[in-house]
Amino acid sequence: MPPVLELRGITKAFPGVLANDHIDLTLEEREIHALLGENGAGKTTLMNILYGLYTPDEGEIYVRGRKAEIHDPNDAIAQGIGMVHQHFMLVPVLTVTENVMLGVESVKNGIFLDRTSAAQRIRRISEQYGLEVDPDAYVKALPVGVQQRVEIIKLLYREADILILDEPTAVLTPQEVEELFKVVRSLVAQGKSVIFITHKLKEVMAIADRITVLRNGRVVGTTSPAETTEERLAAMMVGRKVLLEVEKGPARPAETVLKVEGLKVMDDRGNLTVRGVSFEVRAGEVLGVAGVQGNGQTELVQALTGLRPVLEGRVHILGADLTNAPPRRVLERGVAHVPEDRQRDGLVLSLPVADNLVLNTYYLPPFAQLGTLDQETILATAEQRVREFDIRTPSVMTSVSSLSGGNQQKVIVAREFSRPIRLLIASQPTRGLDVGSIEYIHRRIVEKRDEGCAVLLVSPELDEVMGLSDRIAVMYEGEIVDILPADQATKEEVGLLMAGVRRKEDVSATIA
Amino acid sequence: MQPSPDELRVGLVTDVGRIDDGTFNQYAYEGMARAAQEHGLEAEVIQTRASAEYEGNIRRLIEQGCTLIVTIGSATGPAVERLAMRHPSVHFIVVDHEPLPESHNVTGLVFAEDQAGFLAGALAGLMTERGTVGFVGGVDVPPVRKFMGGFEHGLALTNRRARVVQAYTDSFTDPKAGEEAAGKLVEQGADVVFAAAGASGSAAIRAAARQGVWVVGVDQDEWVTTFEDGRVPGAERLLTSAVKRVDQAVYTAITQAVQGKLRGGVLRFDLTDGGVGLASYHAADAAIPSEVRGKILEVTEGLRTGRIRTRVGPRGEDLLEGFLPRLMAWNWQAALMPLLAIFTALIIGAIFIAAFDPEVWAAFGGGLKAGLATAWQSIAQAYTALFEGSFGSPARIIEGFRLYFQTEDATELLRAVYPLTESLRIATPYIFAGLAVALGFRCGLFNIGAEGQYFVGGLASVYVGYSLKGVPWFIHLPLALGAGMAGGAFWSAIAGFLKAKTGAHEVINTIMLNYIAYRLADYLLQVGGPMARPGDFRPVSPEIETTAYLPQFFPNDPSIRINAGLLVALAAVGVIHWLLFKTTVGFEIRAVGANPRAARTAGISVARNFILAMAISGGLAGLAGAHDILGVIHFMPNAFFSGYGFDSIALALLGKSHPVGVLLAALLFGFLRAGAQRMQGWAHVPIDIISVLQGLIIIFVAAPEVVRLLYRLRAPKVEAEAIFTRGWGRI
Repeated sequence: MPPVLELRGITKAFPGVLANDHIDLTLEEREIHALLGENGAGKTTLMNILYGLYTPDEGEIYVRGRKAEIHDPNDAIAQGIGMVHQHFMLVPVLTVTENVMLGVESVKNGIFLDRTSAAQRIRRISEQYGLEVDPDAYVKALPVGVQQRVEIIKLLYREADILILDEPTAVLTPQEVEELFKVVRSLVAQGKSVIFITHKLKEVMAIADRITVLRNGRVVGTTSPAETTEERLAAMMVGRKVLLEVEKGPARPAETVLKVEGLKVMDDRGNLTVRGVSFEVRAGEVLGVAGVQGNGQTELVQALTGLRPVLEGRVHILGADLTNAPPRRVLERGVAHVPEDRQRDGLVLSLPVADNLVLNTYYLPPFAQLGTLDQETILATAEQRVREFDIRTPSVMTSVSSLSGGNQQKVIVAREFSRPIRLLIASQPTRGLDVGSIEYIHRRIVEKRDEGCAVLLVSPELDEVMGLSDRIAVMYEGEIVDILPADQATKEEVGLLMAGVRRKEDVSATIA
Repeated sequence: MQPSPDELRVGLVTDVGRIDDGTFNQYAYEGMARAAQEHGLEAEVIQTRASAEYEGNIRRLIEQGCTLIVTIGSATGPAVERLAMRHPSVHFIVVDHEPLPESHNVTGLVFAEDQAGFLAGALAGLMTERGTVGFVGGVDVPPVRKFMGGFEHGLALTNRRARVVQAYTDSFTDPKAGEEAAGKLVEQGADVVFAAAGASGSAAIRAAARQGVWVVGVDQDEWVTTFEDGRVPGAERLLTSAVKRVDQAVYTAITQAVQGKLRGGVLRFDLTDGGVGLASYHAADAAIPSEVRGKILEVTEGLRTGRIRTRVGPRGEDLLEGFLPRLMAWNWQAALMPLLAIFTALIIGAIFIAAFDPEVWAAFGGGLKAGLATAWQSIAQAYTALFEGSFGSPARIIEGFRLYFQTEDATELLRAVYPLTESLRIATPYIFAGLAVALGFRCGLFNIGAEGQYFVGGLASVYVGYSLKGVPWFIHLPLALGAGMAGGAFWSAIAGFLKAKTGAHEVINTIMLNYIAYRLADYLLQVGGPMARPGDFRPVSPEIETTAYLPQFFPNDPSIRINAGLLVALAAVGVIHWLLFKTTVGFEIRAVGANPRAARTAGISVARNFILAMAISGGLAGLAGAHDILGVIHFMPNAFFSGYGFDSIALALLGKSHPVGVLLAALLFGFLRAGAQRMQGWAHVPIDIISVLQGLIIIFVAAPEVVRLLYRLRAPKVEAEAIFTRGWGRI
């Protein structure tokens, strides 16, 4: 029997990059095929070709042994190919049924939407595959994990049997990830085939039947969890050996650097998203804040760095009350801030690397005298930083926008770590980075800790928080539900706390 | 960091092959051995059997404590770069490799193979009888490409009609493939064969020599190695070898390391330092005519002095010589786009001119040919008028000069250059106003209210101009200019303040402030109003004192209105350029403009910069007003000449928000405006056609894709993001 899907020699070039270079890929029936690769390896381009969003320059696609011409998503759907995008394509103000029907509305009496029969079909699908969802619920009211189910139901409703899931776990809690895996397994058991795109090694090992690794637009190899290890996969992805575990000695906490008391902060829409948070971070330790994105971490960090007004409560840094101090005062107190969205908050993309490296020190000697920039010193210092932090850039005058994500992050790290700092507030410091860059950034953070810097690490990546922190604070709905010593915390426990299971007893009960 | 010389331990990893391979590896080894012996260094050698072993072999040397590692061949480059990053205390010397810019502990030895190949080609061109020469390449890597490229160009220099046939062995270590390649080339008629293919190439020339054709060796003097000092049959057919002194280069690099002078980067070797060249002719000497030898000497000298160039790039690519290709390597598109936009607009404008000329229509009645001729005439007349109206008539200017030199009477000359001075005069306020909008753009602000700021600036300067009396000009004039600037700055700062504090969009507020400014002028200047001229029935201000006049360049001829305002405008260009790019203020403005969120996160006060940038912007617009009052009309009518509000936006766009760009755009607009008047008067083309032209230019500048489509230009790889303005609300 021919494979369900076969890609032969797919090649796609964008100006300056060969995003896909003669990629071959086969998907067997009832297979979970993981497509693994770093950002920019060409995974998404390949899938967008398969889904008809791009036309390949070369290469052919065969569906069940027959050559398929896929020019737009409608062709893909007609071939039974469906895709769940990383960012959901749902209309929040419509119900689940309406969202699922969108585009393939069933109609009664010629003009009226037939919601009832559609809802019935959705119920049947959700029972069949274990995709629990209320067809009449409004999408905006659903948790992210359930929204993802709606996306999958959309595909099944259109009778897709080749499902492409693009980074499906990026937005999920560990428990939701487990749920998703169950669903995926049940899909495969009932005859569907799945392409699972990710850059997370653990997930690949847990779910995939076969794994194809892409690097720089080429297939590096195809293997299976039985034949390989995480280390080997990482090496395939990056092209060299990678340290997956963070190496660090025990913390030697000293004096308190950051002290937060009863902090309350509102988000842009006026909702109270940080609801009375108190904690301390001491010199020489990493306090990790775990939590699913959107539980107040963003606002917390903004309040600490002076970017968002504090409603109530106090922020003390090195004994000084910096509640509602302007950002510059906070920075000048020795606080380094690695913002969660590096392109939006951390860098001025259109400015050169050199300027970005002095974005918060340009006005100080030796970079400026009497309001005049000392361009020579700025450039010389930039050259030095570029070497020291191994920033891969054609020159220090290259605008940051043309650097890769990892190198962009290194620019921020180089800037923040090169100042005399006492407190490092790092928000999702490795978001969207490849394995190699993650390793690098983690090493640098641990170095800072060992130099006696207090570190507040905020990240929705549980592995990251568990690996780097000395203590773990779990945030849920604007509150810190618990602070655990990292060496005693288990992933399950933290995962459950992240999901809002509050008391210790509940946690142990659920685990038991 | 470089290891200190006394703890140097040298290691060598060969390219695939052995150190007695008679080419490349052997040569590098000899260079290292010589250096090691001379400087008393310990040395390790690992011979690589397959390309997969590079990294492991280098690692073994590092483990054995080698601190200076020589690797051979560009194929080892990637492995070295990877390891260099992790072993910063080890220095690497790589033959035939351009290190990454950030590798401070990797030195690449790069040779001008193209020069050696060029000489070989020149010789081949002189020696071939059948007009066909052969090239055997190993693997398609830069050094081989450079040999090949040089060979081709050298051949073309001495023998235009000769052609090159080539064959690749796809390996440096496959003698059989070399022999086959040689056979094939000879079969194709080659009577000179040049091989740059390592051991494969040596086999190739041996085989070719046996078949009686001329051969040229590579890398080393193959007379010595491949032909064993002439003992191998066919040795007399070896013309020479295109030598690449790898030994010398390795020796030089190690010696530099011993002296503590070796740095990361590239060491280049070429004809001038003897790093490449031709070996001696050996047994072929007698067969080479003396004029050939003379020619080769001449070419060598030419290459050495740079008079002859190989036209081969650093990666073996063909370089086109001359002005055009160099222009193409430059970021020409950025400069070309506005020119193409102007050109395209002129063409479309020409169509309009012809289409709206009734004579043209009438002429088409008399046939296509007559129609086209009349259309051409109409267009030519209009554009000639435009040109003469903006620059002046060249003939008249020459005549003016002649008269001036003969009679020292400048009247005619001044009349002849009058259009030019008028263009500059018109351009002056455009410079100010364009800078105003451009500066706003730099901070992400869209100051659409230059017009209102111009009005307020004019009011303030005229007030100071007429109310202060009896002060010397060097006090009065700066005060009046300063008042104009302050007025404009105050007016725009209102919008800046509202934006910073409430998030109200500056576009709306500056437009609204325009209306307030008009009505303010109405009120102040109305008959009997606070600033009205006493006893006048028109709504105008009093005349300003002459001490507040911007001095004219030609005070004897008041009709030539060009004045010192132009100098102030040029100074403003310089000051704004300095402010934007050399000061912390400009740094903040640009950072806020490009990404206010990141600027704020970095501790820059966005609100302060919004107000400041808006104020500077308004100040510049105010200066435009002050120029027109103090330099041109000397009083303020309430129907003040204007139109700067929108033109200034166009100028900032056309000038890409760069002070110098704005200056050029303002000059263009000044010239168009000045020329338009003559065009109307002389060619009966409505003055509005200039507005159409300006509009078209802006469209084409703002929509570069249209121009690219028209001229089949490719979009540049990275389009510099031009951020002009942002939306509502606070950031």
